[in-house]
Amino acid sequence: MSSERVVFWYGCNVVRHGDIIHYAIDLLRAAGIEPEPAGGPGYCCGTMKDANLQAAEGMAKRTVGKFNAFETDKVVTWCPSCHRHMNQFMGEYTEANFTVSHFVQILHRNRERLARAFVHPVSQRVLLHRHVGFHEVADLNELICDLLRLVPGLTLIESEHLAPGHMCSALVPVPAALKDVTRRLCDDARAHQVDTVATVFHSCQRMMCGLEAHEPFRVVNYVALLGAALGRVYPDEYKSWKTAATEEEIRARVGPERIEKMGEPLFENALLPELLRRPQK
Amino acid sequence: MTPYSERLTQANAPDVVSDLLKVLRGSPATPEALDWIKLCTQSATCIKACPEGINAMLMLRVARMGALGSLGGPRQMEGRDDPLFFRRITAFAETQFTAEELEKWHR
Repeated sequence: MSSERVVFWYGCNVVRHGDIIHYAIDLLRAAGIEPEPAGGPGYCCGTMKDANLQAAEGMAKRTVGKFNAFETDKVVTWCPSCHRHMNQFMGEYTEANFTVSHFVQILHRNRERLARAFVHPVSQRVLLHRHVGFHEVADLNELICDLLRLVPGLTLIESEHLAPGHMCSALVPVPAALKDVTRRLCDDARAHQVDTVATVFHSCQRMMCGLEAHEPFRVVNYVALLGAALGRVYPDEYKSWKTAATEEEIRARVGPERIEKMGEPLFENALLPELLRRPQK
Repeated sequence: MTPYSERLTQANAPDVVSDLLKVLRGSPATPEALDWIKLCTQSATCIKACPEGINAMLMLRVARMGALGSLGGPRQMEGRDDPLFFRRITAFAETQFTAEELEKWHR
C-alpha cells in the first residue's frame, strides 16, 4: 500500500528538540503517512515579525512559494503559531496551492493504525499539560488524550486546569501568568502523584523541562510517549542541558566541539543565557 | 488574562474596546488599550464567546502590529526583536540534526 505524502512543516523554534521532530516523523510513518520534513529559518512563517510587516510579507511569500513547489498539496504543521499565521496572514500575501492540517489531527485520523503499532508498554502515570488556546483549529487536547489512551500501560491523569494562551511561550510577556501556570502544573503533578508531565507543544517542553532538576516528575513531550509505544527512543538533549547544575556542566554536555563549531561568542550570547534560565514559580 | 493588569481591572470594558478600535485606525493606544494588547496570549476563547462573530484575537493581533508601529502610527511597545534569533535557531539545529537532514529539511 503506498503512503500518502505530505510536507511536514515543523517550524523554527522546535529545532531545539531534535527528539520531538524524529518522534513525529516516526509517528507519521507509523500512521501511514510519508512526510517530507521542512523547517528552520528557510521556512520561517514570519509570525515574530509583527514589528516589520515588510519582512513578514517576504517570509510568507517565500515559504508559501516553497510549499507550492512541492509535489504534494498537503502541508502538516507542528507549530501552532506557524499554523495560525498561515491561516490568518500568509495566504493573504500569496496564493497557497495546498491544504493545511495539524500533526495531531493527522495522527488522530489514523489512530486505529497507530493503535496496532503501539505494542510497547509505557508504564507511566501521566499528567497532560494543557493550554486553552488553538481551539479555533481543533481541540488538540482531547485528540492527544485519545492518542495517549492507546498506549498500553499508560495511565492518563486529566487535570481540570487549562493554562491560558496556546503554549507557554505566549505567556512570556506576562511573567506573573507564566509563574502561576508553572506553580499550578507542579501542584497538580504532585497532587496526582504522577511520574510524568507531558507537554503538548515545543515551547512548553522548552520552558518546563528544567523543572525536572528539582521536581519529582519527568517532563516529556507527548510524542516521546507515543514514540516509546512504537519502541523508539531518542535522547532529549535540550533537557539534559537545561537540567545541568552549572554553566560548566552545560558546556560539558553540549560539548566543546559543537560550541567551537557554532562559535564561542554565539554560544555565550545566544544559547547559554537560555540554557541557564530556570522555570520560575 | 485581564486580572494581570490593575488598570484593566478598574476599566470600563466598552471603553477599552473603543480605544482598541482607534488603534486599528492608526491612532496611538491609550494605556488601557496597550495593556489589553500586551496581555493577549492568544487563548482564542474570545472567538467562541463573541455573539457578533468577531475574531477578537485577530483584532488584538492587528492592534499589536499597530502598537509596534507597523501600521503607520507611533511605536508604543517593544516587540520580540531578536537580532540573534535565526543564528540561535541555526546553531540549535546543527546540534540536533545530521548534515544530511539539514541539507534536505532546511533547504
